[in-house]
Amino acid sequence: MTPALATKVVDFGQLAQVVYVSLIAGVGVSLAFSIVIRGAVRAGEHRHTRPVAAAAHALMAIAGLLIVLAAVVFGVSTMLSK
Amino acid sequence: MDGADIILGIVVATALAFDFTNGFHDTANVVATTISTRALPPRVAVTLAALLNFVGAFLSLAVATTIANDIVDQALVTTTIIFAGLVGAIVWNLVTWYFGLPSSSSHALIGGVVGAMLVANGFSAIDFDGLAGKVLVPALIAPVLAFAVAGIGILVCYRIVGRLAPGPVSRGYRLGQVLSGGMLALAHGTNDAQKTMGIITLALIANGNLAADAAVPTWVIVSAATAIALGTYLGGWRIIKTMGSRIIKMDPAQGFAAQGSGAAVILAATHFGYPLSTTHTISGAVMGAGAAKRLSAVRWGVAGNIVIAWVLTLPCAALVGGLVYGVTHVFGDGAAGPVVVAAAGVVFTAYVFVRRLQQGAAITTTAEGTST
Repeated sequence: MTPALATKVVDFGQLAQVVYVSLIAGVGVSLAFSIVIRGAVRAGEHRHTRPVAAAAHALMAIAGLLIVLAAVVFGVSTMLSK
Repeated sequence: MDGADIILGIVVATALAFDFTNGFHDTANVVATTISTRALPPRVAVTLAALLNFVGAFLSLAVATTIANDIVDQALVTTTIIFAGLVGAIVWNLVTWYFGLPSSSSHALIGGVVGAMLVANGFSAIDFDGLAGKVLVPALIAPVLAFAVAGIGILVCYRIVGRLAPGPVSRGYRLGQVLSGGMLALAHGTNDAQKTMGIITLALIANGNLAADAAVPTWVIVSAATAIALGTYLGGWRIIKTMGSRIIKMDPAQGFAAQGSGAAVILAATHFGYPLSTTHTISGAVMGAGAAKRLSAVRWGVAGNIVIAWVLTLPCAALVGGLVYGVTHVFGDGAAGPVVVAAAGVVFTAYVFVRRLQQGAAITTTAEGTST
């Protein structure tokens, strides 16, 4: 398949969108959920000894959770728009 | 009811049977990692996947449109060709199920229809541009992309939680797997159930029941969603074992990264109407999550067998589809051919199940050590 024919047959722009959306969503959700776990675990560890640090970690966990939930809602709404 | 209507009835029944085997076969993709990391008990995981598969089937119709419009020349399609293609796909699904190999139901379906079309009408009837642009190129990209996304994802996970106590971290990722597994089931429903919807719609157009540009009828959506959900519920325990434990031994973080990445890739592809193989995608993600931790963690021999099954799927299903069309055609253009082949198909399916049961009914999931 020549490059010109390949460009005609394959919509590389669309495929590129699939690639970067997948990367952002897949890695982003892993990142955000790991932050949830880290925040929750650290908040639990510091609950009695360092309450301010515990509160900060809890906030971090909540922020991460909101990002994960937003990603889920975005994924479903994207499906519904088709 | 004339011969054409009888053939249409057989085609719809065969398409729904295929959809059932698709759910049955591809359940592994959706729930294997959830089960192998003990995020959920097997039966609960499978039930949840079945429900979300059902819901997912209603979310989008982009893939169904691609299957109905972009692979073969609609004007030359007959219900007999679609029937032969479906039988090709079912036979390949059963053979790979028998050997416990997670091959692609999607490519089996497309291969079967293309093979039957080739035998019936020659090369000019195939839309090679659509086949390459919408099926083959995404098929090559999807597993590699899922491999990369899951690999990067798991490295990010380990980087963030690496110094924490393993107990709470594992519990956290198991909880996350309920969410990522749910998204994967939803993605599976949106992509896979639509393939059957597309095929039934194509048959209805070929039989003159629908106009060429007609939308997918509601009864088609509901019946396809129900068939895939039932198949998913009854589950493909053989393949769950391969996917869940034989490629790599996963920890919950790897399971989460693999499922989340697989769902992201499938949902992104479904949005643009690519009939992606969920099997290829999640297998790539599982391997990526394993290889990023340690290359030797992946059982490359098993992974190699899966890749061979991937490569063989399209040509083998096409071969069976073409062969079935040839056999059907021997009986003429009436309903006799499909009736005879459908009866033979039922006998073949029963034979495969009996043989499998005789060789060892107990399929054990790694998670619970129980036989199912």
